[in-house]
Amino acid sequence: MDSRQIVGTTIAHFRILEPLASGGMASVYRALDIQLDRTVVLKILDADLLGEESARRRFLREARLASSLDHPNICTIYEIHEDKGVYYIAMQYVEGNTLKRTINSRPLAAPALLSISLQVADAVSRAHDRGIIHRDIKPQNIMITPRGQAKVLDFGLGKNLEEATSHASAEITALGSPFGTPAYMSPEQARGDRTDRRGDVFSFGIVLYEMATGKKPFTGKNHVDIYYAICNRTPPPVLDENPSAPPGLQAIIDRCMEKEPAARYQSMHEVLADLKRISAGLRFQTPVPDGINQPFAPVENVRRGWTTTIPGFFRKIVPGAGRTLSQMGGPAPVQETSFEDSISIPDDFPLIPGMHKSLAVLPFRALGSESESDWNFLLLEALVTELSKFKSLTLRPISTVARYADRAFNPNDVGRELGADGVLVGSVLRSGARVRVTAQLIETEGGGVLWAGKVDETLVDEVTGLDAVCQKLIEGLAGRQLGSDVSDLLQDESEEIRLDGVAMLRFSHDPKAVDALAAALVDSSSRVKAAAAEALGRFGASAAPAIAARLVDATDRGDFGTARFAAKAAGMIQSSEVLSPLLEALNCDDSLLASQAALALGDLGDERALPDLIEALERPDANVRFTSAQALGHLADPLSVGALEIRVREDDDEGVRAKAQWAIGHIKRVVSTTRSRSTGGIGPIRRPVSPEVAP
Amino acid sequence: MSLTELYLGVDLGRSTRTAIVDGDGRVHSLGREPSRLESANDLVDGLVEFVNRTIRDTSGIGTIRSIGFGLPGLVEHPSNRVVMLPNLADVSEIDVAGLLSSATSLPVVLDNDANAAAYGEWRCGAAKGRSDFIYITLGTGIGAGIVQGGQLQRGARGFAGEFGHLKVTAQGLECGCGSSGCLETIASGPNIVRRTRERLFSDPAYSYSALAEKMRGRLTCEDVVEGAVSGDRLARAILAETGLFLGMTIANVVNLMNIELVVLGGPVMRDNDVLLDAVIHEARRRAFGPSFEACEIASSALGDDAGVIGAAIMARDAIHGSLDVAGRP
Repeated sequence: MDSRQIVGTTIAHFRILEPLASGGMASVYRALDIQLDRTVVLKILDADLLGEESARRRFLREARLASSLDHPNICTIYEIHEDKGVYYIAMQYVEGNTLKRTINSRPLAAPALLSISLQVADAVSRAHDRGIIHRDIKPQNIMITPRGQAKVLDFGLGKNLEEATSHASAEITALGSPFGTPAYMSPEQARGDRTDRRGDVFSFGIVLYEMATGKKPFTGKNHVDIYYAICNRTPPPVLDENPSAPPGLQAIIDRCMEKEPAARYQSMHEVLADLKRISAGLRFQTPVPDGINQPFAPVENVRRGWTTTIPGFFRKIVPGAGRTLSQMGGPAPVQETSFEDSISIPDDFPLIPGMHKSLAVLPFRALGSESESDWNFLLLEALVTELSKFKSLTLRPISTVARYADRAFNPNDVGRELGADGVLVGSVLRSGARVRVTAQLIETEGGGVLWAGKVDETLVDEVTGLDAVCQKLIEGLAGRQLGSDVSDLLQDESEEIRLDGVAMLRFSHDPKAVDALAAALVDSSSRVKAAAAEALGRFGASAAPAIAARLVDATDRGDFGTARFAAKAAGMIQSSEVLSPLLEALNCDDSLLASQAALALGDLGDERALPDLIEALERPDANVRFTSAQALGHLADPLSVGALEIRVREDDDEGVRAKAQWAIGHIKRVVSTTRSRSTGGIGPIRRPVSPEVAP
Repeated sequence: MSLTELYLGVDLGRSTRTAIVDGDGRVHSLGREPSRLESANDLVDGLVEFVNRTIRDTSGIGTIRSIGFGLPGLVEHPSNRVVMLPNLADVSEIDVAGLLSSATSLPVVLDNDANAAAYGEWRCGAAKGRSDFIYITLGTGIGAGIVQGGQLQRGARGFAGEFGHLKVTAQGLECGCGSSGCLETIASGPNIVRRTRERLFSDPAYSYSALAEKMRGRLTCEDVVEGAVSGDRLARAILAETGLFLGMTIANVVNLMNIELVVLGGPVMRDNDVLLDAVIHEARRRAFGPSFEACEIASSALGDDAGVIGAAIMARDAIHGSLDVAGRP
């Protein structure tokens, strides 16, 4: 049956809502589970493709085993049914983007890379513990939710499908090269040999490489070329492609992608352990395992200026606004309007992509006791009227959208119901003559918040005020207002508002955002300073000049509080431009600043800091000794071991002794790993596969 | 009139401690001075010098008959060789017990310090009269002495009881023993301080805790414990986390050995009901109910002196042939 024909029908207790994908083996739909009133993904699979009865039974048995996997980073399989020769696999519907789209051919920043890789490695290792091999790990099979949570899709289906198809008809097997996606296969998989969980380790290494560089390590004009590359070629070093890749990642990728399974990590647990070490090094945290990997905000490489922070902004500024957000399924990416001036109402409506775009403006929610639904409805009418002036935009009629007034709704569902590309939702808060209107433009597909803004107005009279609010919202949507609002927020007397301002700037790509955040480092509030430092860290090397200047300036002025936060930001950006200011800070008299500088130098990983850090081990202040030991551990240079041993023996501070002890152990481990790899001990065993056996 | 028979206990750590006890187990005197940690030879020379001085100072009270000597490392039996001393110095090439015996002309009983402390608690402390218990000491390192079936268990070669080097996480930090993920990397005194400092440094405003004021100078485990007792949230969080790992590991031991008593001692446990409560809570949560109900978790009665007193009592029992140690002497 044509996939479009099936939409709207009900199979078992699933109402088919829309097709999502269609492949050789299965058709995939978004569906509504009528019994539980939840959206699911439904895969429909023709049992004939699975071949003999025994193969079908095995498929069902193993897919059901996979459905027992309960892990926050695994997309849950809810049910598996067979009905009249057709299998129905209902699984969790995950909103967000695939990792492929998140990478978008550009390297991910270290925090994002590590967060995703830790989550995926944890998920895969859990599945391996249960004896379930994925066999098709690739960025397309990893979803990243708007909150930064990774979800691995299709566990238990890959291996089963492959095994099943090996029993299938000649037609199918003739079509079939090895199961999986060529560019992400292990050598043994590419050769069509039997694979085990180490095949997943190899594929995971490829995903790591792609996250780190934005490129696939093995490419070719056709599948045969790719298979040959997988079996025989060594990809370019990660650092050649991305100099700011996390230190130590190359070694992990190398070991994952060993051609010979016996030379690889033997389990995902080992991979996970090494990733956690890197992560701990970057975060300056003890990697106490709790089974929970903090999700990151998926910001890198998504569309210009997207951020996950606007919901927090609304939550803080508009009491009760959280209700609206929860209806929308939680925080989602937002596009900030640029600082740049723009024309008043252009022909095009750039926030929604495409030539012909449709928009539904939904009735605004009334917040607070004084808000009036009539006024809100008038605002809706005015907005629809004004927005209809965009020539590229088709508005859904008010008569159609009015039914959503005073109803809880999911904007994405509404967008789909109305066939709109985007949905504008908002709320109105009235207090006497003052009114605050917040609005968000949500992309129907993907659920990202494309734009968000707020308007404050004092109503001289209802009609004038209405026009003013409407006009400001339109200007914001057209790209003129929000940027200046954010700058204003950083000057607000309320700490909460300033924090929101910083949060909104975190993911902006506007060059002025970095300067604004660097200025926020001198904020009187430590919370704002901390948020600004963290936000600056996300800008990477592009923020180096601003951070270095702030560090030097604050140090010179004796504003050590600010300088400490600047030093912290400097440690996050992996740029040699901050080396010199950090060394100066390390040698300054303020021990807490010197300590932060030492930590940052450790994070920076620049060996030129080694002599200063070794010298700092002798400083009278325990803070400096402690952090210098930490930094030397990260630099992992054997030259520092002697000085660290003296700390272990002689330091009168227990914490310093423990830190130095760790640093020595860590350096020895790193050195031993490096040596063994360079001498071929446990390192790469390059055993090229002969062209004859390669496919 | 014959002089009283006395026994000298020696406990080597970052400080060297001594205790003189008589045949009834009464403590006549305690001594303490910093160990010399510059090198293995300095460590041993300092030890011998201190022991000889202590013996001389005791000459007016009685006669030392034997020496019990505990140290925080792997002591091989019956060879009496120190195989590993991870937190102090590498004395594996030195016959420490032989040197001490030659220098003093006295018999020397050498054992792991936790075994000595367990022996002390067993003979005259919190475990008196018990036959199946474990004594755990938390200080610079973490060790344990195991008494089962009325005998101290040293294991096949004397290395039993390395409680601090039980692996509690596959992703843990590197440990001084050369491995990683050991309980000691989380719950020893220095590592409690290390974790506290790390938490303090994670906020450059140092606003988390009053302990930040102590950061510039020495921050000790006692400071953390005092902070926790006085309600400091960071300190309490650190000890709660410590208790979680410690309690979890103790639950394993309770399940494995069905012991009747766990004695917690060492400097970290001094006046540390916050940690004791956290440990009991976690162990109760994790152990088999019936096994836990049959087991008591208590603080040491001899406190920081358990090791040195235990060593002295081992010296006494060894010379009288009543040292209750399983297997080879």
